[in-house]
Amino acid sequence: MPRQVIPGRTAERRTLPSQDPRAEPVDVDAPQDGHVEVHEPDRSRSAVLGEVIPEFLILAGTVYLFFKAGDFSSRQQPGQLGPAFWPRLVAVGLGVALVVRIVQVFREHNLPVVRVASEFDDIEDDDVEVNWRSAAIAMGLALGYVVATMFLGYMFATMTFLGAFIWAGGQRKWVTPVVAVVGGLVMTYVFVGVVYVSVPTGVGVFDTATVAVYRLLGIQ
Amino acid sequence: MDVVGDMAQALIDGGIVFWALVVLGVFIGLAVGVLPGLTFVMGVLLILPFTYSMDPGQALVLMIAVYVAGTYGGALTAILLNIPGEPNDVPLTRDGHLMARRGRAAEALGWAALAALFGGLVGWLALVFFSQAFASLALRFGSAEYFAIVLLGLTSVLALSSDSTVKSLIALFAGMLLATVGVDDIYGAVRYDFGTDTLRDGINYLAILVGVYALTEALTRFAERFGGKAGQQPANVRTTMPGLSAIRSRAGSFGRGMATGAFVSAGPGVGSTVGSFVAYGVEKQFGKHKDELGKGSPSGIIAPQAASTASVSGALIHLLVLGIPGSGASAVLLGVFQINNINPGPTIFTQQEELLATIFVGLLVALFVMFVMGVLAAKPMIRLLRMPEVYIAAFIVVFAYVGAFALRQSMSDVFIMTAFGVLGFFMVRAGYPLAPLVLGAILGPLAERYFQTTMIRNANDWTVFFTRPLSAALLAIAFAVFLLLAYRAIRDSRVARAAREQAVASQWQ
Repeated sequence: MPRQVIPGRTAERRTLPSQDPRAEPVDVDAPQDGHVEVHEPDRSRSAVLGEVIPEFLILAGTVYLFFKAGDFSSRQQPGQLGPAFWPRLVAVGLGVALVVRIVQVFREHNLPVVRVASEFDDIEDDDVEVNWRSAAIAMGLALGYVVATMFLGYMFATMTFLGAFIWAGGQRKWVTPVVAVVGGLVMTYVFVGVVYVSVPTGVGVFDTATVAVYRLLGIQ
Repeated sequence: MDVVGDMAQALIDGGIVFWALVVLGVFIGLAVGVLPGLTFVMGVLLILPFTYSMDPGQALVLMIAVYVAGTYGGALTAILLNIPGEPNDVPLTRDGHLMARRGRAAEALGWAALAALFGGLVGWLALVFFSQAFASLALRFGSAEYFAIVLLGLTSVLALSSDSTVKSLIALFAGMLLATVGVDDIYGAVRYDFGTDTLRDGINYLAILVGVYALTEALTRFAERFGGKAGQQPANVRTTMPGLSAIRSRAGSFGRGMATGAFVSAGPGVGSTVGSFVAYGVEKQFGKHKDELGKGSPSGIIAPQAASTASVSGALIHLLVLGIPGSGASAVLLGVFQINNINPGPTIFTQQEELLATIFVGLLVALFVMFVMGVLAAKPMIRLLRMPEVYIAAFIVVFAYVGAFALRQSMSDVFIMTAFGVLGFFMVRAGYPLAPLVLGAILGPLAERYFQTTMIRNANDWTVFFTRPLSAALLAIAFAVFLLLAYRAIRDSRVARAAREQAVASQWQ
């Protein structure tokens, strides 16, 4: 069960005793169920603003979509709710929830953060620090893969992607290019030759080369 | 429908292909269960493109085998390595791993295998023998009742979420709003297309599912540089079956786990994770061996594992009888039905008897194959953890690409999938849950269709939702769930306030 991310969780953490005096620890290694954890808050203004900027942006988008719904044209009969009713209803719900969230962040940003501990926290709390450079590389590779398929074709783009992703992911061994090439060929054979998905073959020379490889693989 | 005769016929007709698909599905399910980061929902999603060239029965048998084995595979790593392969395996780690640390790993694995088999079998019996009766009742449902069921599903998603209610609500509404993009199927209006063909065709919920479940996970693990504790290997992997007297002494744990799993997961929007946690809680509260729980008790393995596997049938009942998916995995199964132009619902029991028999017998055979493979193949399965995770992540992206592309043979779905993969990454970092987003996108259009149909049929008289007894009862339950949510929010707020006051007071001491 995923845990809620706690703002300021890198700060000092203290554990207060449970309010239930009958509660007993069941295992010396286990966190104690029902205990309340208090985290020091992160009081910086930039942190608070950073936390609510996405909510503000989504709220602005929601307001825009609410009014944009007025442009829908349809064969709606008089007296019917029409195609704009439901999106507007949902937009109102989303808007209200976003406002509540924004108010919540501003009200609680300088208060200690509190959560009730679960006995499974040590198992679930497997948070590993995110490296934003790696995140950017992974996203760039994933997006680049999609764009590359339109020009290089699925097969060559897959080979390139597999090699680049595995290499950038730390497996800088001689086997990586082999996995990339063999993986690309196997994926192409399975999806095109067996499952009949007509993935892009690319443009120009890549199209010609892809079709030639298809013939070699016996793909019609 | 002659259930036994039809199932026997389906088994004969399926031939060697049927058995091969079940074994393959169970192997994939166990593998995705063992590997942390690969969930069984992802497993079902990633094999989706392979099923396009299959007939619907074969496709569903393969996917159900992955689904059911996926609820058990993670128990192996949870017990041996204290690594829950799936979220539903978390409750098993406490007692299971304690048993393993005390040299009782083989016994713990035996209890898990047996619980998975028994839980699955009881769920299967419920599916086969109660779903038809439920379908007869569902034939009387009108659009008002269906709207109430979907609304109940939407509120259940929030109530059963462990995350912030407000964040879950935002994710849910966002999913519902995104699902309104494209051509509206009641009035034929084009909504939010902004002049692009990509958006005019609508956002396929399977593209969202692939993006947020598969691509998001691959991006997240890459960004975490594949850190964690997944490389360890246990010294010895062996499974020992408990004796009959030992099973008899734990009969209550089996019963409670199976009942909780089948009952809880029959509710809309509830998956095996909730069933597993609830079963552990019930065992801790009412179990004969409740004092042993958390100290290395077999009951702490039996109840959650039996509930996890039983939940598969609960989800299938909901999907087959009402045509409404309650979980990520059953949403993918719904996609297979829709791709093959089959609408699950109460009429499926009279119009698709052969398909149903194939599903029933497929689940039954998958349970036994899962048990045998789980016992015999535990060691090679654990060895999968030696594989560098970057290879798995790379191939997840490749599978996700084809999974999205093959939906409509269109690059639009690949771009949408990629966008949701990136969105999911940022949502996870900001503490937003992904499940409400996905279920909002799946249940939102159903809610709109049933609501609009009811209003059109009844000349905009909204009181029809309250004058029809079943609809009123379901809405009352949904309202009760909503009240529960409000109560929980107020209670948490009070606990937080009290803790803060105590923390502030302690600073002055």
